[in-house]
Order: sequence, then structure tokens, then C-alpha cells
Amino acid sequence: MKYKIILSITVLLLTMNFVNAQSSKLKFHSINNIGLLEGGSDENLQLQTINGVSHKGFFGGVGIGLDNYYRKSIPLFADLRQNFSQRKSTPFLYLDLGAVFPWDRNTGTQWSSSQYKTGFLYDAGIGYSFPIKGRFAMNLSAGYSQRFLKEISETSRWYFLTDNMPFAPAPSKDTAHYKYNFNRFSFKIGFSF
Amino acid sequence: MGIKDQFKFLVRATLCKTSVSGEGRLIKNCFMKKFMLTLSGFVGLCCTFIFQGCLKDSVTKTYRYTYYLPVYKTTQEVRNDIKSRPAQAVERPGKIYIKGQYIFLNDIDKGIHVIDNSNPSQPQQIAFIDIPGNMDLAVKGDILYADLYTDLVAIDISNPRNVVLKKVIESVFPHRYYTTGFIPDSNKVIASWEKRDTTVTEKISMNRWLKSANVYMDYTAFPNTLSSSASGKSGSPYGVGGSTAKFAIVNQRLYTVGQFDLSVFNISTMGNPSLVNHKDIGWNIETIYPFMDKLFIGSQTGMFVYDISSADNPVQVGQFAHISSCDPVISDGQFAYVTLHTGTICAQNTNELDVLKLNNLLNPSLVKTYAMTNPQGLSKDGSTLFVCDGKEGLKIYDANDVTNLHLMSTVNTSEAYDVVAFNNHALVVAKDGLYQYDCSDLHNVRLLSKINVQN
Repeated sequence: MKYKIILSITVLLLTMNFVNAQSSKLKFHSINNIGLLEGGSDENLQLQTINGVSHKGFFGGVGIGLDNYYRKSIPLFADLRQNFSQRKSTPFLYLDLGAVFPWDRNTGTQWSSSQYKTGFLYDAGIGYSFPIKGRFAMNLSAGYSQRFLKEISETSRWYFLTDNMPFAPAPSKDTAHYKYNFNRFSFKIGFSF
Repeated sequence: MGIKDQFKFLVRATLCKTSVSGEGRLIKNCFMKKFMLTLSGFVGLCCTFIFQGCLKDSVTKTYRYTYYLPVYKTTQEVRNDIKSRPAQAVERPGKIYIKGQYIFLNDIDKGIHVIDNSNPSQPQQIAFIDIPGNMDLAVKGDILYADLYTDLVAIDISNPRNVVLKKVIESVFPHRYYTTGFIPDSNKVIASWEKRDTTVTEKISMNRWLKSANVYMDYTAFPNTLSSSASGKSGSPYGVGGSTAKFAIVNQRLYTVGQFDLSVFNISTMGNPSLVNHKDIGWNIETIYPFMDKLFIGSQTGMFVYDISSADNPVQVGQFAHISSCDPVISDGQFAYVTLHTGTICAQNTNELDVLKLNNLLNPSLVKTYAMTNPQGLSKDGSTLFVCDGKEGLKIYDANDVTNLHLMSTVNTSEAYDVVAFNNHALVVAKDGLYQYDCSDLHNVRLLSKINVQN
């Protein structure tokens, strides 16, 4: 169901682009946001910088940032935006899709270790942009974000590393694979130029 | 403009706070701006409250769960089964003992492989002696002494293809009782284990209270107690004849160490050992190594030197204390060589070889420390020192000058952990099998044979 919603938003953005017939020039924009990720098991900071071009109210760019929800990671994503109008003050829809790289790939102690794999995330929502001065504008947005992460964890079972205890033979390490699904509301405020 | 129109105009003007001039278009734009802002805020609030269920994080855990079911036999059945059986594959190599042309190789918790090594290039496994719970062994004459959980057994091996159980002394190794709530029928012995594997996938909910840097709140991370283990590292083997033994024979006495104690058995009568002394000697005792009239006993807190000139009454005459590590030790009479390594419950961050001078047995002194990767068993043949250094393999040193050990060669073996060296011949117990090397040319050590471990 969620993927159908994402697909619908993508189609809507592309359609609206052709409806708004304006200047054909490509304009460079940089969008820089700070925000909050609010979810079931954490609330934490997010930072983004997105750079790209706009055309007829449609913006496409590449973003990179910091996602500090539960486990710090670096998202790298494609950003698509569609303004509702050509005015400087306008609501917009946005969609971010991309990969998320763990800040620490390997963690652990003498008895356990974890390896985190590159994951995937998306963030979609609506916002409002209004001018501040000159080319600078302020953006507010709210949306829904999901991040998927994988972990391989190994734990040594130290208490049988002595041969004095007649326990059954068993592997000296337990290995478990974890798949995380983080569901968050994403609130952002920032400026663009 | 009527009163009604004026009221409407005032409402619009109040909402948008604009000048009345050009009012139509300005008011409409202002109104749209405020409307969209309000709508965004309202939608955001709705999402926050209505869609709380969408915020539930989850994690799916998949792990292979291995557990072992004990297979019981009665005590009498186990004793009746202590005989030479057809040779079988080595699974978990442990202690090693060499007598004449034969190699006796412990398979942890299972028994002892008998290997005819009359041709080291082609060793032949000729029999397997079924001894459940076996961890250690020693041989004197034609009698093999081995532990069977808490008991000491004496086995006549004059004909290795047809061994005979001579005697059992019960309950001399009390540390080998089952613990952690696993209490079997006292009339039964765990003869073997059936391994069961299953893959489990479970979905775990997360909440912020149990957030951790590593994992989550999964308290089922460890399988059932039945699967808790022994000797996880393919046996942290303390080899007899090697430096990591717990059994040692000196003249007519068998000395064994447990976790806290030293036991003395009189073995002057062949096949009829008797317990003559038992004393507590400290904490976390790991190894015993005999040299002349001394016993060098390694522990997690240091190396103890015991005088056994009175054979039945070992007396501590010296000690070398160092940080906690598991300590295989050997001696050539003038110096003692001790390895300290991490990766066990000894749990210190030290991997090194210590060389100690034994001029004063009351206070051995450290001559030099050599940094290593993960040293374990060691052996000395003349002036050549052999050290098993974990994944680095077997390291061979010229030990003529102990203050300057010179590395002659390194032999790549898969996690070697014990070695027996004699007459330019080295037997190495490693994770994947038993290696034999010709060391007559230390710059060109030659592999003679390998007995593989069954995976």
C-alpha cells in the first residue's frame, strides 16, 4: 500500500510538471534543511543539503545528509519536488529516494560484534515555500519516512571457553541477522536559494 | 457599501491585514497564502495524532539455532564400551600424547584416537577408544590414564587394537560435574550429543526504552541452556606431551590439575592407580608441566612452581605473578617459557611470550617479553623453541640466546594451538587437523603428513 502511495506521488509530480507551462530555463537551487525525525523508538535530528535544478516548477536534485534516528547514518538520495504554482510562495510536494550508509559499519567488543549494511530510505510529504529576501526562501515541510537497515551480529559465548565444564559442544559464536524497519514522521525547516 | 458587505470586507482585511486599495486581488492572494499554511499545519497535526500506528518500528531477527540433545547410557554401559573400536574421523582434536610409535589424540568429550605413526609421512588411524567426557590423557608403560567426566580410568594399551579397561576411580574430578541447572540422572552418563539445527525468524517490536547501541531488546539472543557449550574453540586444548596439559606423569605418580586443585595418583602398580593426595592450590588453574623434580603449574593469575621431591606431597616453592591470562608453560630447567593469550575467559588484552629465569625458584625473574599475535601451546627441542601463535601458525625460534630469540621460520597452519617437538620432528594440533613436520632444516621445514578434522 505504501509503495502505491509513493508511486502515485511520483506520477503526480511528473504530471503537474507538464501542466505548468512557464519559462523553459533550468535554474540551479540549493535546499538546506534541518529537522526532526519522530518515530516509535526514537526522536532525533536530521540534516540535509539538496542541490539540483528546477524547470517549470519541477525540481530534481541530489541530496546528502545526516539521519540520527536510532543509529547514525548518512543518507544519499534523489530529491524530486513539484510546486503547486509558479509563484515564489507556493506549497509543494516532495519525494526523496535513496541509500543510507551507516556511520559506523563495524562495532563491538571482545565478545560481540555487529556489522551494518547499506540500507534504503524514502521520505515523502508536503511543504510550503515562501520568499525571505532576493533568491532566498524558507521551506517548511512535513512527511513520512521509512528507513531500512540490516545488521549481522556475532556474539561469543565465553562461558564455555574453558574445558572444565562438561557442557554440550556448540558453536563458539552465535550469528544473527537483523532487518530493521524504521517508520518516522519527518519535519523539516530550512532555506533555499 | 451595506453593513453586511462592510462586515465581510472587515473580516477579509483582518485576516490578511492588507491595505484596502487593490483589495480584490491582494486579499485573494493573501487569503490563499494563509489558507495553505493553515492547511499544512492541520495536516501535520492530523498525521501526528491519527497515524501513530504508522510509527511503530520493527526488527526481524533470523538466526540459526543449534542445540544438543544428550544421549544417555548407564555408567556400566559406558565402562563396557571402553574398548578399541574401528578408527573414526577426528572431529575436535584436543590433547596429544606420544608413546613410541603411537600417537594418542584426544577427541574432546568423545575419546581417544590411536594412530600408528611408525611412518610419520603416512600415519594410520588404527582404533578409537570410546571415553565420553574425555579431555586429558597420560601414558606410562602400557597403561593409559584418562578422565571420564569426574572419574579417572586406567586402560591397558599393550595392544592398542584391543585395549582393556583396568580400573575406574570415581569422583576425583569434581569440577567436571554438570552445572547450570543441568542435572542428569546420577546413574547415567552423557555418552554423546545429537546436534539439531533449526532456523528461527522472529519479529521483534522496538520501543525507545530499550534502545541500545547494539541491538535491541531481544532477550532470547542465547539459545536454550542445553545448547550451551564446552570448549567452544574446538577445545582449548591443553595437550599432554605438549605444554597445555592437565595430566602429567613423573616417575610413579600421575599429577592432575583441576580448576582449583592438584591431585596425586600413585601409579606404581600397573593398571591400579590410587588417589594419594588432593589439595587446593589456587584459582583458575590451567596447565601442568613437569620438569625433573618440579611441576610448573600455569593459571590465570600466574605460574606456580611446585617441588615434588616428596612425590606424594607437592610443595609450592616459587611463583611468578602476572596479569590474568591463560598460561601454557614449559621449562628446560634453566628457563621457563610461558605464553599469555586473549580470546578466552582469561579476558585480558595481552598476547605475549614471557621467558623467566629459574635460578631462584622461590622467585623466578622475567628475562624478556616477546610480543605475539595469539600464542598458545609451545615446545622445546634442544635449543629450538616452537610456539603456536594462533592464526599466524607455528613459529620456530633459535633459543640459544633467550634475550634475543631469533625467528627461523613460520609454518602456516590453521590456528595451531599445541605442539610437541622432539628429535627434529614436530606434531602440531591445529583447528583443522594434526600436522607432522620434519624440522631437520629449520629454514626449510617440510610437511610430512596431515590428519584432517571432519567438518
